[in-house]
Amino acid sequence: MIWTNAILQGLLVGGLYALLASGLSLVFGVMRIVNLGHGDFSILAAYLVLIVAGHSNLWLGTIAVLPIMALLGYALQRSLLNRALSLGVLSPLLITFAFSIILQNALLKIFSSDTRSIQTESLGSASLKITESISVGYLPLITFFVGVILTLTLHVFLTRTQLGRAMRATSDDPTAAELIGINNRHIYGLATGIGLFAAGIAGILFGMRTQFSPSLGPVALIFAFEAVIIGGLGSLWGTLVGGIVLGIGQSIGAQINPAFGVLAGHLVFITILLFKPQGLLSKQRGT
Amino acid sequence: MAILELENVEAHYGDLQALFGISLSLQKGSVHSVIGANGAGKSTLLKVIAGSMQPTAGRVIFNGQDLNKVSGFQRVKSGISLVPEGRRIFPSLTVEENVKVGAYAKRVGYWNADTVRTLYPLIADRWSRLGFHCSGGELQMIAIARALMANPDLLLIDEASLGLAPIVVAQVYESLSQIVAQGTSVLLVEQNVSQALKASTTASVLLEGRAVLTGKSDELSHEAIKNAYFGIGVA
Repeated sequence: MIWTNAILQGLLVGGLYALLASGLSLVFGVMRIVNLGHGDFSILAAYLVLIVAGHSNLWLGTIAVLPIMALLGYALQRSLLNRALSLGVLSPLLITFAFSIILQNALLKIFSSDTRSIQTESLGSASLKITESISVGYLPLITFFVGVILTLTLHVFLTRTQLGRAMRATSDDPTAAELIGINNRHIYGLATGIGLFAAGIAGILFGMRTQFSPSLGPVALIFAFEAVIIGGLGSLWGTLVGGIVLGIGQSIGAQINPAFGVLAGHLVFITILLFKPQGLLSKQRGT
Repeated sequence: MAILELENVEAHYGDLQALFGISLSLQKGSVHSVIGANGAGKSTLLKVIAGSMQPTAGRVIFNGQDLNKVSGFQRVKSGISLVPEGRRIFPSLTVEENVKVGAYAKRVGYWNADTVRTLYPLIADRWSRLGFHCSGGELQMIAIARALMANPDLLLIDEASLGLAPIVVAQVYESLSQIVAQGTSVLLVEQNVSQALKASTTASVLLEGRAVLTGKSDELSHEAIKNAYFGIGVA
């Protein structure tokens, strides 16, 4: 029963990792940019909600912050990253590394290194009792379903809408995409906008579940990155699966010894990298 | 009325000059073929018209509008579509998605997913296959279908018959007359001289970046074309 519980809790944590990773996965899939600031952007969103919620209420804060994150993503892509993309693969990487450093230090300066959390009143501690010994928190449950819904929404967007098809076409062959009238720079802006929107959702839910501080971004990035690699680059469903595998790995590790949780997650990641380096659900064709 | 006019267009790849003072006029509703050997500048000419390459001198005028300030993706919206060399079909999209994404520029007209399927029954059969798995002839038809989905006023086709089986070449050229019948003008780049002359109303021969011969396709003599193509008698 302990193990069932561990797997169930791991599954739910995995939903959070999948949320964190989906934006990273999309941005990488469309532009081959690894956004090293992805984790810091999600922490930024959590702090932004703290500010807005301080003046109104939590849900209004969330609704206000997510579009801000999307706009920020679009603006950063159109102003800096598009230019960097034309200079080779290293330039965008360096720029996103700079985002990470700037965000961490700015947050530290403004909010200090004290840990904070987003107060959700009763929601944070309420739970659903499944059996005598197993119960799951509403918040983890909501996080998990938001992760699934986000993945599903992105999937439908990419496969069923004209804009989504254009995004995949641009990812395949940017030059050919221009020839059918697609403005790549706009598409890239939208991808990063969606990426930071998703990072924002993840950061806010993360901030509701646990305490956070300005230095947490890189840790979030590593978990997100591991989820993407485990699932397979370029596959959104893979990213969801990757997040869940990572979450369950950590949870089982923590069950063995509370100090082993994070380490077990890394071990799962390395094992998959060794035996299935293309990821569990990779769509990449052999080249 | 001319749909497309080139005035003394020049283009460079770095220090290498690829086009020298090309002037050309294409009448609305006509098919013009550009013939020339490898490296004569045919693809460069199409790239300059489609906007994926900037001319270093001269003007490209389309429907009376100077295109020099109009970027590549905006030219599709203006009514120019290019079927590129190598077809450039999106490999991870299905045939259906490849065709439908062609309508991104939202130009209205005769061509839509149904009419292009009627035009090319072969790609209708492959509708849900990935672009990655299609054969050369299928790719060419998908590429033309994708370009038609933008309902262009001017269709540019680079190497229409290159690498295709004769029966597929015949199908592609047969479809050309139906495309023109819907009001689209066509600029065709070909290495297959007889095929190009048969399909076009006017033709130009490019030699080392210069238009050395231009005329009505049925009035150009084989001798003149041969001389222009190989540069015989050209100083």
